[in-house]
Amino acid sequence: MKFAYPQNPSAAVSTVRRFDETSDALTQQSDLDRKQSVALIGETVPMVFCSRGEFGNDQGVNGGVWVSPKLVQLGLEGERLSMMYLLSQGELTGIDPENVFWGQEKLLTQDDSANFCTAYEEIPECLDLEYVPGAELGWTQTVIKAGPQGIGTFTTENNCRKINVAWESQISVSGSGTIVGGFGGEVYLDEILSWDSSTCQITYQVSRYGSGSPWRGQTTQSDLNQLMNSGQATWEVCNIVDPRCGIRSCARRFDMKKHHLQASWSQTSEVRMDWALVRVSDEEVITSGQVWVQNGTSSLLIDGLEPDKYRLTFSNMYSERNKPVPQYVIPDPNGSQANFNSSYLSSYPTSVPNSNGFARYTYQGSVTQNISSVITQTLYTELVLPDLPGGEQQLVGGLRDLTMCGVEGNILELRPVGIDRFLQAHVFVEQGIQVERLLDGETGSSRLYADLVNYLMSTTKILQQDQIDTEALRLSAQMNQAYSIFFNGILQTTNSLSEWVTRTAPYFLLSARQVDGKYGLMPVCPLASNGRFKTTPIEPTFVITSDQIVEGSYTRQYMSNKERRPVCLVMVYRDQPTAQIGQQVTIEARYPGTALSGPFEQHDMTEFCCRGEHAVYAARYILAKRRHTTHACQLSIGRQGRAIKPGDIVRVNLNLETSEGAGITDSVMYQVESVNEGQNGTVQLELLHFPVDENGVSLVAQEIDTGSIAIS
Amino acid sequence: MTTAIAAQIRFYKDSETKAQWQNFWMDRTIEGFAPKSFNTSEILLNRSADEGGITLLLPTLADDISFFLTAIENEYLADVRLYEQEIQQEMPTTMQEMQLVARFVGEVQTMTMTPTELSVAIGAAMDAINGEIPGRRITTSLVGRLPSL
Repeated sequence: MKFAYPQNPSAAVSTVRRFDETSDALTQQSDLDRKQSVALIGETVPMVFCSRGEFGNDQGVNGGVWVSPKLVQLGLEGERLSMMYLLSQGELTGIDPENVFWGQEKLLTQDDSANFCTAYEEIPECLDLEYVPGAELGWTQTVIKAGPQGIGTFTTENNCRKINVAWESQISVSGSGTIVGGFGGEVYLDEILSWDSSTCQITYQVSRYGSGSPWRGQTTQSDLNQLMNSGQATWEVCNIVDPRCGIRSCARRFDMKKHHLQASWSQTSEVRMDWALVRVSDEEVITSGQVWVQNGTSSLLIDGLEPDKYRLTFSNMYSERNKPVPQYVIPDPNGSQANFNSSYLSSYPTSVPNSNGFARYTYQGSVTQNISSVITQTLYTELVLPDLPGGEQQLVGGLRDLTMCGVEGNILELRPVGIDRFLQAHVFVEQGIQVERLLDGETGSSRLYADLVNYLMSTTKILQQDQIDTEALRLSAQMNQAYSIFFNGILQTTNSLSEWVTRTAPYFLLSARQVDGKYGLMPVCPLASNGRFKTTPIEPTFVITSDQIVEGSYTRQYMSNKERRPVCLVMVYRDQPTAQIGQQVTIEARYPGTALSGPFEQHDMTEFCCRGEHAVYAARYILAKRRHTTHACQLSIGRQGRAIKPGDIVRVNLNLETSEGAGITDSVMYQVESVNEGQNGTVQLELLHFPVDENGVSLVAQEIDTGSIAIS
Repeated sequence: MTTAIAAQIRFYKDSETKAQWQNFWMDRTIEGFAPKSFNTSEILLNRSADEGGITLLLPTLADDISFFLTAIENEYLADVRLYEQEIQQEMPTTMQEMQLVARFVGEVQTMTMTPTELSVAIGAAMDAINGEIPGRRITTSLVGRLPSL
């Protein structure tokens, strides 16, 4: 039975498929500030397989993998947030909190009070989780920003529940003017007396008005007496005209201007604005009103809002100004001394009422108006914890064979205003799950692909131990070690093991094989004793001659030129620094001078590759096999072929004669793809061209080991 | 020239042998392998991670049905070996005299039957569809109730 494998990596469908698979991958290292992803019921429990260390071959220290774990639990106690993530199945250790990122920032930079912890099969100690089914987990944050200076608009953050606008203002009016004015004439009085020196009897006789404006006239003695007795003369000169009687004569001036008065005022005041709160999502006016903003401080509180994003608009600023200043006008006496006297002797204002206080309606004058505002938003966030079936409370599940990690910190730091989501956490794992290591027999973290395959085959119970070709896996591990080709990645999507191995093994210069019912891996070319590919002449394990081939069983199939034309390989991998999150990197590999403008064939190795050298080895293999491997053939031979195993190198020597002349006459090396042994006495072989040079050295092995492809 | 082909099969679980059969000497037990009338399909070895497996054919007998139901339930392994010997004068008397030409180790996976023939599939639970890795899935019993953000 044949199975439909994914198309070749050159096919667009395959390329899209690969990237689709990793679109939400735990290793996705673009858009670091994305929303924290939550685990989904039914999705694959990730498996982190890696080991950081000296790579060998002068490649320095490398390895490990950045994991963007998914959230499985959370809790909130006051302002302390606890988030628990599923890191991997199996036990992981030695994760440095310095290598934990919160979005693009280091966790400890984002919140220096934060704690990071891990645990195997239990809740990490630093966490305080409390899951109350059906409850709500809510918290508020406040954010303060400058508001409009007077009229204008302000848009809140999301989830705003309360808005408090505080104004700090200078609103004042200053002015000056006449508050007592009008008639300003003068009156002069001469107190000319006649007297009897013997009796010293005085007789008032004459008065006269001062010369000049505004008028002259006569008056009664009584009127004059009012002025003279008032003591309010603005000027007075008296002479003693009869010393014996002590009689004086005085000249006096009464100037009405003495009552005229100029005054100033400086009043504080207020302005009124219309305001309206509009919900941004649907432009609905939620509430509106008017607010008076006074000199000094004043405020507006809008509370009880549904958490949302709003726009607050202030408009139509209104103020009351230019109130008339109270002013007294002294009337013209129109020649009447009595009128003059009355005005002169009246009381007049000495100041402007409320000249220095607060007034909404201010006197005229120059206006000073500086308004600034600060808006405090109260943002509310709420998480609803779903009900559990049956209403039972369940903190966490069994966590069996899982490594969990947790972040505990201040929610106001970890979910700052302006970011309406939890940022994705990123954790650098240096040592992956514990597996049996084929090369040293110990149990621990590994980076060898063969160890991973062995683990997947055995621990996952897909195969029983007798069905695993441990020796072949060990040989494969030695080759990968020799070339420093390592697996540092996460298995995060569920695949068929055979499909996954078939797809990924070539990137480790390996192929899957099954011999005698035992499954394993084998290097793509024979190895030398140092674990590297043999670059000396290869001796075939079996030589097949024309005479040994069962008649009618031989067929040879050449590959189309389309499959072999030069291509440019785009190898995608990811670099893996510890200090910062790595990024995807590509190299282009082609034979010098070929495929300069394509066609391009992309190979996504981001799943496991973190070194360019690894990608180069894979590219060399793919290009060499494509260039040099020309055909495949099938044939059957007798039982003498029973020693042949898949992966063996055999030579087929053909020297066929036909009735029309010489037929196939060549000697070609092949690699055995499959061996089919039955009870009819023959062994059916499927062979793939194994290209060698004139000395019998594998061309593919040479290219892998010391290839000359151009890298850019 | 005549070639004798013998097949022997050992069923075992954790190195404990459950049954051993051979189909060449029908009149006696050879090296612990009891005589049994059965046949095997071709054995395919290849450079891929699937397509392995053979089929064991034998008469439909009540005892065998019972045995293979147990074998399937308990995931017995079957070690199948094909031997051959060119016969020129007399028949071989032991397996050691014959050449091992093929071997296959697989798990007893399933069987189908007609009233006359029992067909037992021996192979691996691994093909392009089955054998999922990593196989574990997130469940509420594993990590608890998941939050909504």
